[in-house]
Amino acid sequence: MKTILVACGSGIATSTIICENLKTLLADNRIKADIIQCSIGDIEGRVDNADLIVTSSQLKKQYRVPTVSAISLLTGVGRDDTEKAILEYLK
Amino acid sequence: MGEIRKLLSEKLIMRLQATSHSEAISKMADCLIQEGYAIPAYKEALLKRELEFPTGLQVPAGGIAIPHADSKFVLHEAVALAILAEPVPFQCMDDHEKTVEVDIIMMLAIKHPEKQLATLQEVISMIQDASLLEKLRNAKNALEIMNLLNRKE
Repeated sequence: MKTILVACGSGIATSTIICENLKTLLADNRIKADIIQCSIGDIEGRVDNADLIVTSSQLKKQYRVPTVSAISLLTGVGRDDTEKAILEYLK
Repeated sequence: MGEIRKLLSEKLIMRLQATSHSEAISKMADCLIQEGYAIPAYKEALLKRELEFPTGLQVPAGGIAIPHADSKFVLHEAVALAILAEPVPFQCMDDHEKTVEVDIIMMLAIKHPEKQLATLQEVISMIQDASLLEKLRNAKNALEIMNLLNRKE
């Protein structure tokens, strides 16, 4: 099972929204994955066990795992493309 | 909009004149602090956080910002709403090199993040609602804004 880090600046506001969207997306596509909500500062300590980073914020550095920007889940613009990109990484 | 409506009050809705994002954030923070929703350190925390993790969002209906800070500065959960006379640039949440001209700010004073999913979801559905945002911009006063949000339920 893959592990997804969902990160935002504080780890409490926009990441909460993204987590909820992600749970629905995974359920709709019958995919099981671990979703871990964290702050941008927490990524460093958790990234070794992760397969994908989904974030609303700009990361401080490039990590070895793929990253998907999920700003569209907040603004509504380009949402389908973001969901497709996330699903692609979870195949 | 039931959850937001519960957290907003006419005192937390304002029309603002500001020349910078920090001035707008400061004025809104002052209001929340004065009304007893946050401790004085909340203002500094918001300004600092906005620099490190900007909250500007480009939505179809314009520029919105959702400043927030750690819950330890919050005494009672609340949402403050400001409509700016003139937009001010905020850095974009997903790309700090870019700015967005923001004229509606929703400041989130979050006390229990785990319990505020419904509120956050309403904020997101609100910022995606172009016709509602236009009505907010044109509203004459705080009471009219409260009524607009009531009607959304």
